[in-house]
Amino acid sequence: MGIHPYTIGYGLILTVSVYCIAVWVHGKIPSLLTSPMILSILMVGSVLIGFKFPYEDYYEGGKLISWFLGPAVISLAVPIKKNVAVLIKFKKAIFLGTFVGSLTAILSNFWLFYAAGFPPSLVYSIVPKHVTTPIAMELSKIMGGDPSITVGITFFTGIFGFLTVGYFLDRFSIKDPISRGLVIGVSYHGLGAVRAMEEGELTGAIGSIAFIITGTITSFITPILLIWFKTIL
Amino acid sequence: MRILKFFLIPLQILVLCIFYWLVQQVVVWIHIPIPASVLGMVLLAILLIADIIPLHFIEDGSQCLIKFMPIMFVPDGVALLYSGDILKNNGVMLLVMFLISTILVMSLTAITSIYMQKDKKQINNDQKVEG
Repeated sequence: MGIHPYTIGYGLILTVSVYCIAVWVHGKIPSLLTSPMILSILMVGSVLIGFKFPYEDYYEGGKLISWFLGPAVISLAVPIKKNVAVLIKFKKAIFLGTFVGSLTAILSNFWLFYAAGFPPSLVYSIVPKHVTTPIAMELSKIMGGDPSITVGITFFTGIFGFLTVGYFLDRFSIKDPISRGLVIGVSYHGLGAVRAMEEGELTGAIGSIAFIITGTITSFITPILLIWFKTIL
Repeated sequence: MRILKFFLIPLQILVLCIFYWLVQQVVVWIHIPIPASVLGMVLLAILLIADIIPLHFIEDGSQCLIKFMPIMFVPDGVALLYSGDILKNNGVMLLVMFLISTILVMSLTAITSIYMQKDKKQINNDQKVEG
Protein backbone atom coordinates (compact mmCIF):
# COMPACT_ATOMS: atom_id res chain seq x y z
CA MET A 1 0.00 0.00 0.00
CA GLY A 2 2.36 2.65 1.25
CA ILE A 3 5.23 1.30 -0.83
CA HIS A 4 5.16 3.83 -3.60
CA PRO A 5 8.21 5.31 -5.35
CA TYR A 6 7.10 8.71 -4.09
CA THR A 7 6.97 7.52 -0.47
CA ILE A 8 10.44 6.01 -0.69
CA GLY A 9 11.85 9.14 -2.29
CA TYR A 10 10.44 11.42 0.39
CA GLY A 11 11.95 9.46 3.28
CA LEU A 12 15.34 9.48 1.57
CA ILE A 13 15.34 13.13 0.55
CA LEU A 14 14.03 14.36 3.90
CA THR A 15 16.71 12.46 5.84
CA VAL A 16 19.60 13.48 3.59
CA SER A 17 18.65 17.15 3.34
CA VAL A 18 17.99 17.47 7.08
CA TYR A 19 21.36 15.80 7.76
CA CYS A 20 23.13 18.31 5.52
CA ILE A 21 21.54 21.17 7.47
CA ALA A 22 22.53 19.48 10.75
CA VAL A 23 26.16 19.09 9.65
CA TRP A 24 26.21 22.79 8.71
CA VAL A 25 24.76 23.82 12.09
CA HIS A 26 27.24 21.56 13.89
CA GLY A 27 30.05 23.29 11.99
CA LYS A 28 28.82 26.69 13.17
CA ILE A 29 28.22 25.62 16.80
CA PRO A 30 30.46 22.62 17.51
CA SER A 31 29.17 20.86 20.64
CA LEU A 32 28.04 17.40 21.73
CA LEU A 33 24.49 18.77 21.94
CA THR A 34 24.48 19.84 18.29
CA SER A 35 25.67 16.43 17.07
CA PRO A 36 24.30 15.99 13.52
CA MET A 37 22.54 12.79 14.59
CA ILE A 38 20.56 14.40 17.44
CA LEU A 39 19.72 17.51 15.40
CA SER A 40 18.56 15.39 12.44
CA ILE A 41 16.36 13.20 14.63
CA LEU A 42 14.73 16.27 16.18
CA MET A 43 14.25 18.01 12.81
CA VAL A 44 12.85 14.96 10.97
CA GLY A 45 10.60 14.29 13.99
CA SER A 46 9.34 17.88 13.98
CA VAL A 47 8.50 17.68 10.28
CA LEU A 48 6.66 14.36 10.68
CA ILE A 49 4.75 15.40 13.79
CA GLY A 50 4.17 18.99 12.58
CA PHE A 51 2.71 17.95 9.22
CA LYS A 52 1.08 14.78 10.64
CA PHE A 53 2.99 12.56 8.20
CA PRO A 54 2.82 8.90 9.31
CA TYR A 55 6.15 7.54 10.54
CA GLU A 56 5.60 4.25 8.66
CA ASP A 57 5.59 6.10 5.32
CA TYR A 58 8.75 7.98 6.22
CA TYR A 59 10.45 4.72 7.24
CA GLU A 60 9.87 3.17 3.79
CA GLY A 61 12.58 5.51 2.52
CA GLY A 62 14.44 5.80 5.80
CA LYS A 63 15.13 2.09 6.07
CA LEU A 64 17.16 2.27 2.85
CA ILE A 65 19.53 4.59 4.72
CA SER A 66 19.70 2.49 7.88
CA TRP A 67 20.42 -0.59 5.74
CA PHE A 68 23.91 0.82 5.21
CA LEU A 69 24.66 0.22 8.90
CA GLY A 70 25.40 -3.37 7.84
CA PRO A 71 28.25 -2.50 5.46
CA ALA A 72 29.35 0.19 7.94
CA VAL A 73 29.79 -2.43 10.69
CA ILE A 74 31.70 -4.63 8.23
CA SER A 75 33.97 -1.63 7.61
CA LEU A 76 35.05 -1.75 11.27
CA ALA A 77 37.40 -4.54 10.15
CA VAL A 78 39.66 -1.78 8.81
CA PRO A 79 40.54 -0.19 12.20
CA ILE A 80 41.20 -3.73 13.50
CA LYS A 81 43.61 -4.40 10.65
CA LYS A 82 45.33 -1.05 11.17
CA ASN A 83 45.86 -1.68 14.90
CA VAL A 84 46.65 -5.38 14.59
CA ALA A 85 50.17 -4.88 16.02
CA VAL A 86 48.73 -3.40 19.23
CA LEU A 87 46.09 -6.13 19.33
CA ILE A 88 48.70 -8.88 19.15
CA LYS A 89 51.02 -7.20 21.65
CA PHE A 90 48.33 -6.85 24.34
CA LYS A 91 46.07 -9.70 23.25
CA LYS A 92 45.66 -11.27 26.69
CA ALA A 93 44.62 -8.04 28.42
CA ILE A 94 42.39 -7.01 25.50
CA PHE A 95 40.54 -10.31 25.14
CA LEU A 96 40.11 -10.87 28.88
CA GLY A 97 39.12 -7.24 29.50
CA THR A 98 36.57 -7.11 26.68
CA PHE A 99 35.18 -10.54 27.62
CA VAL A 100 34.70 -9.63 31.30
CA GLY A 101 33.26 -6.24 30.32
CA SER A 102 30.82 -7.70 27.77
CA LEU A 103 29.60 -10.38 30.14
CA THR A 104 29.20 -7.88 33.00
CA ALA A 105 27.27 -5.54 30.72
CA ILE A 106 24.78 -8.13 29.45
CA LEU A 107 24.18 -9.74 32.85
CA SER A 108 24.03 -6.55 34.93
CA ASN A 109 21.77 -4.81 32.42
CA PHE A 110 19.43 -7.75 32.26
CA TRP A 111 19.19 -8.37 36.02
CA LEU A 112 19.05 -4.73 37.12
CA PHE A 113 16.39 -3.66 34.64
CA TYR A 114 14.46 -6.89 35.15
CA ALA A 115 14.52 -6.35 38.94
CA ALA A 116 13.28 -2.78 38.39
CA GLY A 117 10.15 -4.31 36.89
CA PHE A 118 10.42 -2.99 33.34
CA PRO A 119 8.51 -4.76 30.55
CA PRO A 120 10.54 -7.39 28.60
CA SER A 121 10.73 -5.34 25.38
CA LEU A 122 12.26 -2.42 27.30
CA VAL A 123 14.72 -4.68 29.15
CA TYR A 124 15.85 -6.22 25.83
CA SER A 125 16.21 -2.75 24.30
CA ILE A 126 18.56 -1.75 27.12
CA VAL A 127 20.67 -4.95 27.44
CA PRO A 128 23.11 -4.09 24.57
CA LYS A 129 23.60 -0.45 25.66
CA HIS A 130 27.41 -0.66 25.94
CA VAL A 131 28.14 -1.92 22.42
CA THR A 132 28.42 0.21 19.32
CA THR A 133 24.99 1.48 18.22
CA PRO A 134 24.56 -0.44 14.92
CA ILE A 135 25.40 -3.76 16.61
CA ALA A 136 23.27 -2.82 19.63
CA MET A 137 20.29 -2.25 17.31
CA GLU A 138 20.75 -5.65 15.66
CA LEU A 139 21.00 -7.40 19.04
CA SER A 140 17.95 -5.52 20.30
CA LYS A 141 15.97 -6.76 17.26
CA ILE A 142 17.16 -10.34 17.75
CA MET A 143 16.11 -10.32 21.42
CA GLY A 144 12.75 -8.67 20.82
CA GLY A 145 13.55 -5.13 21.89
CA ASP A 146 12.76 -1.84 20.20
CA PRO A 147 15.77 -0.65 18.12
CA SER A 148 14.72 3.00 18.39
CA ILE A 149 14.92 2.89 22.21
CA THR A 150 18.27 1.15 21.83
CA VAL A 151 19.55 4.02 19.64
CA GLY A 152 18.56 6.50 22.35
CA ILE A 153 19.95 4.60 25.35
CA THR A 154 23.17 3.60 23.60
CA PHE A 155 23.83 7.15 22.48
CA PHE A 156 23.11 8.41 26.00
CA THR A 157 25.59 5.85 27.37
CA GLY A 158 28.25 7.09 24.95
CA ILE A 159 27.72 10.77 25.77
CA PHE A 160 27.67 10.02 29.51
CA GLY A 161 30.97 8.15 29.20
CA PHE A 162 32.54 10.77 26.97
CA LEU A 163 31.91 13.39 29.66
CA THR A 164 32.56 11.42 32.87
CA VAL A 165 35.01 8.58 32.17
CA GLY A 166 38.05 10.81 32.68
CA TYR A 167 36.87 11.65 36.19
CA PHE A 168 36.27 7.97 37.01
CA LEU A 169 39.70 6.90 35.76
CA ASP A 170 41.52 9.70 37.61
CA ARG A 171 39.49 9.15 40.81
CA PHE A 172 40.75 5.55 40.98
CA SER A 173 44.16 6.63 39.67
CA ILE A 174 44.10 4.28 36.70
CA LYS A 175 47.06 5.60 34.77
CA ASP A 176 48.38 3.01 32.34
CA PRO A 177 47.17 3.61 28.78
CA ILE A 178 46.13 -0.02 28.27
CA SER A 179 43.68 -0.05 31.17
CA ARG A 180 42.39 3.42 30.31
CA GLY A 181 41.83 2.47 26.66
CA LEU A 182 40.14 -0.77 27.66
CA VAL A 183 37.76 0.80 30.19
CA ILE A 184 36.80 3.58 27.78
CA GLY A 185 36.39 1.29 24.75
CA VAL A 186 34.54 -1.52 26.52
CA SER A 187 32.13 0.77 28.36
CA TYR A 188 31.46 3.56 25.87
CA HIS A 189 31.70 2.13 22.32
CA GLY A 190 32.47 4.45 19.39
CA LEU A 191 32.07 7.71 21.29
CA GLY A 192 34.44 6.30 23.89
CA ALA A 193 36.97 5.49 21.17
CA VAL A 194 36.91 9.14 20.08
CA ARG A 195 37.51 10.14 23.71
CA ALA A 196 40.35 7.58 24.00
CA MET A 197 42.07 9.02 20.91
CA GLU A 198 42.28 12.38 22.69
CA GLU A 199 44.51 10.76 25.32
CA GLY A 200 47.15 9.55 22.90
CA GLU A 201 47.98 7.05 20.22
CA LEU A 202 48.18 3.88 22.32
CA THR A 203 45.06 4.62 24.39
CA GLY A 204 43.22 5.49 21.16
CA ALA A 205 44.30 2.28 19.43
CA ILE A 206 43.31 0.14 22.43
CA GLY A 207 40.00 2.04 22.69
CA SER A 208 39.15 1.37 19.03
CA ILE A 209 40.07 -2.29 19.22
CA ALA A 210 38.22 -2.69 22.52
CA PHE A 211 34.92 -1.29 21.33
CA ILE A 212 34.90 -3.38 18.15
CA ILE A 213 35.83 -6.61 19.97
CA THR A 214 33.29 -5.87 22.71
CA GLY A 215 30.61 -5.58 20.01
CA THR A 216 31.73 -8.88 18.48
CA ILE A 217 31.94 -10.82 21.76
CA THR A 218 28.57 -9.45 22.88
CA SER A 219 27.03 -10.56 19.56
CA PHE A 220 28.25 -14.10 20.13
CA ILE A 221 27.32 -14.35 23.84
CA THR A 222 23.93 -12.66 23.71
CA PRO A 223 22.07 -15.34 21.68
CA ILE A 224 23.32 -17.98 24.13
CA LEU A 225 22.31 -16.01 27.23
CA LEU A 226 19.01 -15.15 25.55
CA ILE A 227 17.93 -18.79 25.83
CA TRP A 228 18.34 -18.45 29.60
CA PHE A 229 16.75 -14.97 29.74
CA LYS A 230 13.67 -16.27 27.89
CA THR A 231 13.03 -18.79 30.67
CA ILE A 232 12.95 -15.90 33.19
CA LEU A 233 11.15 -13.14 31.30
CA MET B 1 44.29 10.83 -8.59
CA ARG B 2 41.35 12.73 -7.15
CA ILE B 3 39.15 11.68 -10.05
CA LEU B 4 40.22 8.09 -9.55
CA LYS B 5 39.19 8.29 -5.87
CA PHE B 6 35.85 9.77 -6.90
CA PHE B 7 35.07 6.52 -8.72
CA LEU B 8 36.89 4.18 -6.36
CA ILE B 9 35.00 5.07 -3.18
CA PRO B 10 31.50 4.27 -4.55
CA LEU B 11 32.91 1.09 -6.10
CA GLN B 12 34.44 -0.02 -2.79
CA ILE B 13 31.19 0.76 -0.97
CA LEU B 14 29.32 -1.31 -3.55
CA VAL B 15 31.67 -4.22 -2.93
CA LEU B 16 31.12 -3.95 0.85
CA CYS B 17 27.33 -3.83 0.28
CA ILE B 18 27.39 -6.95 -1.90
CA PHE B 19 29.57 -8.68 0.70
CA TYR B 20 27.06 -7.73 3.44
CA TRP B 21 24.16 -8.98 1.31
CA LEU B 22 25.90 -12.31 0.74
CA VAL B 23 26.62 -12.82 4.46
CA GLN B 24 23.00 -11.89 5.18
CA GLN B 25 21.77 -14.62 2.82
CA VAL B 26 24.02 -17.17 4.53
CA VAL B 27 22.80 -16.11 8.00
CA VAL B 28 19.16 -16.45 6.92
CA TRP B 29 19.92 -19.78 5.30
CA ILE B 30 21.63 -21.40 8.30
CA HIS B 31 19.40 -19.68 10.90
CA ILE B 32 21.98 -18.35 13.35
CA PRO B 33 20.81 -15.54 15.65
CA ILE B 34 24.00 -13.48 15.19
CA PRO B 35 23.98 -10.15 13.29
CA ALA B 36 25.15 -10.67 9.68
CA SER B 37 27.11 -7.43 9.89
CA VAL B 38 29.22 -8.74 12.81
CA LEU B 39 29.94 -12.04 11.05
CA GLY B 40 30.90 -10.11 7.93
CA MET B 41 33.20 -7.88 9.95
CA VAL B 42 34.97 -10.84 11.57
CA LEU B 43 35.35 -12.50 8.17
CA LEU B 44 36.74 -9.34 6.56
CA ALA B 45 39.10 -8.76 9.50
CA ILE B 46 40.48 -12.29 9.05
CA LEU B 47 40.89 -11.75 5.29
CA LEU B 48 42.68 -8.44 5.90
CA ILE B 49 44.95 -9.71 8.67
CA ALA B 50 45.88 -12.80 6.63
CA ASP B 51 46.75 -10.42 3.75
CA ILE B 52 44.31 -12.20 1.43
CA ILE B 53 42.65 -8.84 0.70
CA PRO B 54 45.01 -5.84 0.63
CA LEU B 55 43.88 -2.99 2.87
CA HIS B 56 43.83 -0.37 0.10
CA PHE B 57 41.21 -2.38 -1.84
CA ILE B 58 38.51 -1.25 0.58
CA GLU B 59 40.10 1.35 2.87
CA ASP B 60 38.64 4.58 1.48
CA GLY B 61 35.17 3.14 1.01
CA SER B 62 35.13 1.76 4.56
CA GLN B 63 36.25 5.04 6.02
CA CYS B 64 33.50 6.83 4.11
CA LEU B 65 30.87 4.42 5.49
CA ILE B 66 32.16 4.84 9.06
CA LYS B 67 32.23 8.62 8.68
CA PHE B 68 28.59 8.76 7.59
CA MET B 69 27.34 6.34 10.24
CA PRO B 70 25.46 9.04 12.21
CA ILE B 71 22.95 9.64 9.37
CA MET B 72 22.12 5.93 9.33
CA PHE B 73 20.79 6.10 12.90
CA VAL B 74 18.34 8.88 12.06
CA PRO B 75 15.42 6.84 10.59
CA ASP B 76 15.26 4.56 13.65
CA GLY B 77 16.13 7.35 16.04
CA VAL B 78 13.09 9.33 14.94
CA ALA B 79 10.84 6.59 16.32
CA LEU B 80 12.25 7.45 19.75
CA LEU B 81 10.16 10.64 19.66
CA TYR B 82 7.03 8.44 19.51
CA SER B 83 8.09 6.02 22.23
CA GLY B 84 9.65 8.65 24.48
CA ASP B 85 6.85 8.27 27.06
CA ILE B 86 8.14 4.85 28.14
CA LEU B 87 11.47 6.45 29.00
CA LYS B 88 9.98 9.58 30.58
CA ASN B 89 7.58 7.68 32.86
CA ASN B 90 10.38 5.53 34.26
CA GLY B 91 13.05 8.24 34.26
CA VAL B 92 14.39 8.04 37.84
CA MET B 93 14.47 4.24 38.02
CA LEU B 94 16.12 4.06 34.58
CA LEU B 95 18.80 6.52 35.65
CA VAL B 96 19.57 4.68 38.91
CA MET B 97 19.89 1.31 37.16
CA PHE B 98 21.85 2.94 34.36
CA LEU B 99 24.42 4.30 36.82
CA ILE B 100 24.78 1.02 38.73
CA SER B 101 25.24 -1.10 35.61
CA THR B 102 27.63 1.39 33.99
CA ILE B 103 29.81 1.61 37.10
CA LEU B 104 29.84 -2.21 37.30
CA VAL B 105 30.99 -2.53 33.69
CA MET B 106 33.73 0.08 34.13
CA SER B 107 34.96 -1.32 37.46
CA LEU B 108 35.14 -4.96 36.42
CA THR B 109 36.88 -4.09 33.16
CA ALA B 110 39.33 -1.90 35.07
CA ILE B 111 40.02 -4.57 37.70
CA THR B 112 40.61 -7.22 35.01
CA SER B 113 42.95 -4.99 33.06
CA ILE B 114 44.91 -3.80 36.10
CA TYR B 115 45.24 -7.40 37.27
CA MET B 116 46.64 -8.34 33.86
CA GLN B 117 49.15 -5.47 33.95
CA LYS B 118 50.27 -6.35 37.51
CA ASP B 119 50.69 -9.94 36.43
CA LYS B 120 52.96 -8.84 33.61
CA LYS B 121 54.99 -6.51 35.86
CA GLN B 122 55.41 -9.35 38.37
CA ILE B 123 56.85 -11.59 35.66
CA ASN B 124 59.17 -8.79 34.50
CA ASN B 125 60.35 -8.18 38.07
CA ASP B 126 60.94 -11.86 38.67
CA GLN B 127 63.00 -12.05 35.52
CA LYS B 128 65.01 -9.06 36.68
CA VAL B 129 65.70 -10.67 40.05
CA GLU B 130 66.78 -13.89 38.42
CA GLY B 131 68.96 -12.02 35.95
